[in-house]
Amino acid sequence: MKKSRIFYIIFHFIFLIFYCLYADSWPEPPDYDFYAHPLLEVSNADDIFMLGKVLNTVEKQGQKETLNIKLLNGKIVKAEKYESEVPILTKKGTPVLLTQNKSEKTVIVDYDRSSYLSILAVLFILAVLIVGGIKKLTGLTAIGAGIIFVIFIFLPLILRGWSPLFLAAISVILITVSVITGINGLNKKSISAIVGTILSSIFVMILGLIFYPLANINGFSLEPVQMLNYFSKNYTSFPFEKFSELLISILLIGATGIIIDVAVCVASIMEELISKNSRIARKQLLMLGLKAGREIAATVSNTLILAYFGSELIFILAATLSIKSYAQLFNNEWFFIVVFQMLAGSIGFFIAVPLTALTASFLMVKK
Amino acid sequence: MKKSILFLFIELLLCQYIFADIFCKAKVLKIGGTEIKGNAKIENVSLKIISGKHKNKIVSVKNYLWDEKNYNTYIKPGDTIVIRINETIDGKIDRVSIKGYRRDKILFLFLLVFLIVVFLTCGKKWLVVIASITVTISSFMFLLLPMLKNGHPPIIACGSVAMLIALAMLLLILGFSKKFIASVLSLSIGMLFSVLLSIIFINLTKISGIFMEGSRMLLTATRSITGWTISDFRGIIIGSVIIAALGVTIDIIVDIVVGMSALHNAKKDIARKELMASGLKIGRDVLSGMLGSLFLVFTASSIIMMTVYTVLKTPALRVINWEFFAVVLLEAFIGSLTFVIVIPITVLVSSLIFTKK
Repeated sequence: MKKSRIFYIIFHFIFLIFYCLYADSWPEPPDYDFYAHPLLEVSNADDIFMLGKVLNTVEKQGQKETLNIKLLNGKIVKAEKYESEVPILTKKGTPVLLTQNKSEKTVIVDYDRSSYLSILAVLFILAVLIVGGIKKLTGLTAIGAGIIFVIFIFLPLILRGWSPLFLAAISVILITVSVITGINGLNKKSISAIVGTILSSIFVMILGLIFYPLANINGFSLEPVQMLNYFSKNYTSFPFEKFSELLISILLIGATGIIIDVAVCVASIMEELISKNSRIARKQLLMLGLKAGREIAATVSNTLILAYFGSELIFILAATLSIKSYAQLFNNEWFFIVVFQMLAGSIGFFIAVPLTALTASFLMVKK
Repeated sequence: MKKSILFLFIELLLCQYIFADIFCKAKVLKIGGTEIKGNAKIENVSLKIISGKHKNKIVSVKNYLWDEKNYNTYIKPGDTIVIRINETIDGKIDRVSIKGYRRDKILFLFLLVFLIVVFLTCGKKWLVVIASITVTISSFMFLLLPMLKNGHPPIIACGSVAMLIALAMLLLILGFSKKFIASVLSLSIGMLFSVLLSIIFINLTKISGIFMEGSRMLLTATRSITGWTISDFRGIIIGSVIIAALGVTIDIIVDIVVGMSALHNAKKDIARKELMASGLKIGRDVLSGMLGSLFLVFTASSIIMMTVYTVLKTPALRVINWEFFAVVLLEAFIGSLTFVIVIPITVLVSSLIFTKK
């Protein structure tokens, strides 16, 4: 009885997946101009954006279509569709994004994706709450605060001419301190983890500062860097110059999370060792901590590589399609950046093991 | 200016497919006079080719220095640079152009530094670390990228390569045992879950696939190589979700499975409920830290695009609904949701495998 129910569930699960894979639900949009980058048609700064739902079509003349839209506050307005390279397909109830400019003309510019994304966010938060419980989430909120810091303080300040490296160092220190004290409170264990993390981040930063200038890296083989250069030159009074520093700060921020993980693990193992044998000598403690830390570092050795590769898969694929020889690959700028990001971050958490163990052994044992 | 940069970019991309060309290294012998033409300064350079089939030939090249200094290659006599040779049909040098600085020496120097650090910090474990990193990187380079290039469906290509890497890593860490079977089972259920969730949400948010970061570069490239369609781009989103979350997912699965099996070995007649409770506790302890590192990697890889939005002062409502940003959010959320869901799945599967009732 029970087994058959499990099979029933599995069968439906598999059926659903196959249905999704082969359902003809992904229409091909018609031909469009590949080179007109949508960011090049910059919208007016004083446009007002709002969300709404499609009610019905008022009139349709060839490409032009006027629709009745119900706004979030219940008002009903008439709006035209924005003629873009990818047509916006609407039917009754489709959530859309509208813009209203000075001339009071309302235009549908895009789908409203935020409502579905917030459903996903709610799902995610629910899952974390159910699986993790509320107590364990202080560290996660600290990380969230760190990300908000990066987006709303770090980015505007580097566009005012502040050094990205300096700001990255500050955000790494802030994230480290708030995450570790958020999880463990302020004690010898957290202090040694914080010191270990910050020292290894400094090591990664020094590596970046040595190797990026040596290899003449400024990031201009990456499309977003070219766009940043172009837009900051034409739209702001401070053209952004420090591209190499920006790349190093990205490297630092990306590696922080996993370095913190490893450092906290090593510090808690050291604390446990002391609680088991309070008369342990410093050297012995250091040796035991190093041995346990190596196990941790070895199991997480691939994590950063996989995470970076996944989050940049499209870009890496686009760049490798044109590669025909090893001479081209190994001298490529983006290849250097990708490999450096992955491996220098990994160096960060490898080096965090001895650094944290050393700090902890000095802090926790008198002699 | 705007157009000239775009055209330069397009030309650079197209040139690589139209002409048969060879990349090789060359040494700068001397730099002749310079002339100024429009917005470019042109240096006449004579080079000695030091690698490839045209070795030891001496050629003269024009080095264009644009007023946008970041696109330029600055050279002085004695430097080694990378050049591209376009050949005529009968294999003679047709045209030579400067591609950029030489970076391979420094890359290998960095790899050496990496090896030394691994050797010093990991002690006896260094072989395992190097082996697992080599397996991962080489299966990307020699398996996944060629598979995608030859036009295999991205979901299947990414899924199978991810599974292969996972199998290799789990075998390396756990050996072939009950633990291994439990972790493989839970990992595959988790991966199916993330594929299903991605498909649902990609359809709901109507992501077309052409506005992702780098997807225009990819489109330009694929047009002349394989018969890719836009729907494959949506497949790549799913592939990247699977791969990005794979590392942390394997870590947490190994943590839970090892802990639960140790507990079961210590106390053979342990009740299933008790075993599950302790497995869940192990998962909870590492949850927030690993989730944080996944989020920080996603933040780091989208920092440059976010700087662009900050420059343009695009309103937040526009940015969130834009496909560029929606894709990043989607990947980050689904990746971490998979990671969270895998914890109860692993606890359930391994308790079913370890205990009889």
